Amino acid sequence: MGTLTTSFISSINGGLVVPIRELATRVIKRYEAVYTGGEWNPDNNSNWAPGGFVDFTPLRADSRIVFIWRIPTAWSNATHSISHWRFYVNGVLYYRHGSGGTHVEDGNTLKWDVPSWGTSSGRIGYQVRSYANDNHETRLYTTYYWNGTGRSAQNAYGQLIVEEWAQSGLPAGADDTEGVVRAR
Amino acid sequence: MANTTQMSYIQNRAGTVTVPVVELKTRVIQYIRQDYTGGSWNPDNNYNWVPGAFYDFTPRAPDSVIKYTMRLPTCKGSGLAAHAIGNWYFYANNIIYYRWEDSLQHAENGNIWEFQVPSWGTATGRIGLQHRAHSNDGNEFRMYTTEYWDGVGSVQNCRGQLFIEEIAL
Repeated sequence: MGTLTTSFISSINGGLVVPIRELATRVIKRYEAVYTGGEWNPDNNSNWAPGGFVDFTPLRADSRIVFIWRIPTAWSNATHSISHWRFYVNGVLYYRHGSGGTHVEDGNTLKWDVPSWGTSSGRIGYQVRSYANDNHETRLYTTYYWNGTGRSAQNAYGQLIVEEWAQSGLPAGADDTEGVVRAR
Repeated sequence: MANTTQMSYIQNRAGTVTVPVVELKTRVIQYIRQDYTGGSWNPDNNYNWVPGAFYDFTPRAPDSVIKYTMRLPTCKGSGLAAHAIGNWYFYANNIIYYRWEDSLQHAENGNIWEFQVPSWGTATGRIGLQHRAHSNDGNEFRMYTTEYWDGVGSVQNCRGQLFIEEIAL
């Protein structure tokens, strides 16, 4: 059946000895995409943020999924920008947080680690809404000031990475959800 | 060494994957994940361990690297001064590795902080964040909460998440 059973693997000169059990944690699937579509203008409904989600099919039911999103943001209208962020996994709201400030610009990195939802396709990613449409609003993939000038809206790239990690110890299907939010 | 297979490469039966054994050197040998669900935390103007943002961790190897990643939503305290100011220390086994300050008018953020430090040996040590407010219940950040939510002034609990990876090199 092509299976070697051993406790350690050693390089041919013996300089490296690796316990097999230390190979249990490993990346078994990876998705990466760069968003180049330019500024995104949200409204005051929660919508899927372009470049911030993907329909992903895990290879295993007992793995964990690591989601990493590099998402530049900037204020646009009122000096005080406010936005609301929801992180969904396969139809379940896992986490939420706000983003706001006065004259705020940021090259955020958002990162999450969730259990696999099984081996069927599910959407993982962010929905974003503004506090007020085109008023107290945060724009995505853009700048407000750039290179020492006043208003200079420049397109900024985003990057989404999803890694599936095989590993033992994390219960499959654990209920790590923001249950309070789902009930609202 | 007993039960050790010595080789230069590992290959699957179909011959489509060939892995040099020396490339197995860098690997994750321990992984911890901790979710914080305790709701809003109100700091004061003393340094305190931020709940959910520290862990008493025991490395498996003394020559590994410990990677600490914390997802910690913050915002200015509702009804407090518009200018939130907070001071942060990152400790690993009683050593301050980093410190920084956050400050902004009407600040609200779903921060991620990530650090890598050398293993401190195979004894248990605490790794994580301490925080103090610039002024208690004045120019202050609150953790794991929002000030505004869904278009209104609305204080909502948020979860945090801590990951620790030990990486053998």
